[in-house]
Amino acid sequence: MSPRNKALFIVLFTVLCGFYRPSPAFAKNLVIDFYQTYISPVDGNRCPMHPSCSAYADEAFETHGPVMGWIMTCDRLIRCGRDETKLSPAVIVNNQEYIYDPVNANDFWWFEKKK
Amino acid sequence: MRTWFSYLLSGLLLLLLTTVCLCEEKKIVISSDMQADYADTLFKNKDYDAAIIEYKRFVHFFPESEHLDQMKFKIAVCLFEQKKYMDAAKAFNDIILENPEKPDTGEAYFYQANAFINLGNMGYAEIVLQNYLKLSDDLKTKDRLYAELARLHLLQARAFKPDSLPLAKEYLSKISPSNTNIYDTEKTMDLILAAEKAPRKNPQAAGFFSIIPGGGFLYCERYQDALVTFLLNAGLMLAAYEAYDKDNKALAGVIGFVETGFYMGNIYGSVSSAHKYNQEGILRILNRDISLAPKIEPEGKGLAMTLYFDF
Repeated sequence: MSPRNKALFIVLFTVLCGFYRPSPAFAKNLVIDFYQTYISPVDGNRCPMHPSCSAYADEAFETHGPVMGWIMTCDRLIRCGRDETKLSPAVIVNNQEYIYDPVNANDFWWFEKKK
Repeated sequence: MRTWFSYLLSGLLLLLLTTVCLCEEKKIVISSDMQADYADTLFKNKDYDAAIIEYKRFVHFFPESEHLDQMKFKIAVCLFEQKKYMDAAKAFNDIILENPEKPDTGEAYFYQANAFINLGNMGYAEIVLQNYLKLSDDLKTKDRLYAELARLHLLQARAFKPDSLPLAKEYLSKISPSNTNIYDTEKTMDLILAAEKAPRKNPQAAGFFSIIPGGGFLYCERYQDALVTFLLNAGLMLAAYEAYDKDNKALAGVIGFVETGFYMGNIYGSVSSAHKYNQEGILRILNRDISLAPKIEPEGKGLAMTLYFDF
């Protein structure tokens, strides 16, 4: 394995480890935590949805684990700010209008939260 | 000197007696009716915290009163009105267990079911109503129970629980013809039929079409999502192929990992969109005007139904 491929493997391994969480209460997802702490404040909040995509991803990982969490996050990134804006209800947060699209609006057809 | 002293003594005695008499006049004895009236006034003024205290005072000081059960019922109603649904459900449960024959017990069943509905626990609510249905022989009560069960299933239909609409229809059809007007059965039945006929998308078909990225979204009439999904997946697939072709296998692996997520997300999103489309169709009709919203009368004056029109 060439040094470049080794480096890429390490990056991939780190990313995968970041997505993995032994238990929901273990810790905040590392990748999402990194994004929310260092990238999002600089990049600015441009997500038109509520909760934002990173918050949605965090909740999806916490509720459904790494595999379904990852799939639901990708699904949300695809849908963010397009047709969903015409279908989902609007919500006002901090005097700004967002499109309300929580995790339970997308897993209601297969997942029932224990009461 | 002696006369002066006797006058003074007589005067003091008179003063003492007058004071005693005045004190006697000021003494108020609170009867059970007065206590109940005061508690009811607080209840009517929606001061539920104070009303609970006064009802409890009644229960403490008049344990032999024939209105004792009524007071306990009102305490439970106060808890319900305060939206302390879990406490209210427990209080109504105690009433049901203690006095199965009393008239308030029937209302307690309905209140308890509504407390569970407000807690989001539809299963318990249905059990409570079904239990009362088994115990009840009265036609009017049975009809009310059928209407409540129908309402419960309509609420579940809104939450996308399968088979809720047929069950709601079944319970509505059990309401006796003499009471159909009270519960506006015909109108609700028409709504259910309209909801059943609402345009639908097959989630399996959406999943199948999404084998080609974006196909599922296209099927669910989400054209922008379809285009983005197609371009994104095609781009990532091409990038992974290019990386692999140029012997950059690790990069191909990373891109492949990301692409797998987006491809699976495309399938998941398509199936989810079909379900959301179906739910939206049902909700659009059911939210138009659900007429089965019973108003519970704490005074025990009877049943009233309210009509809601959402425009």
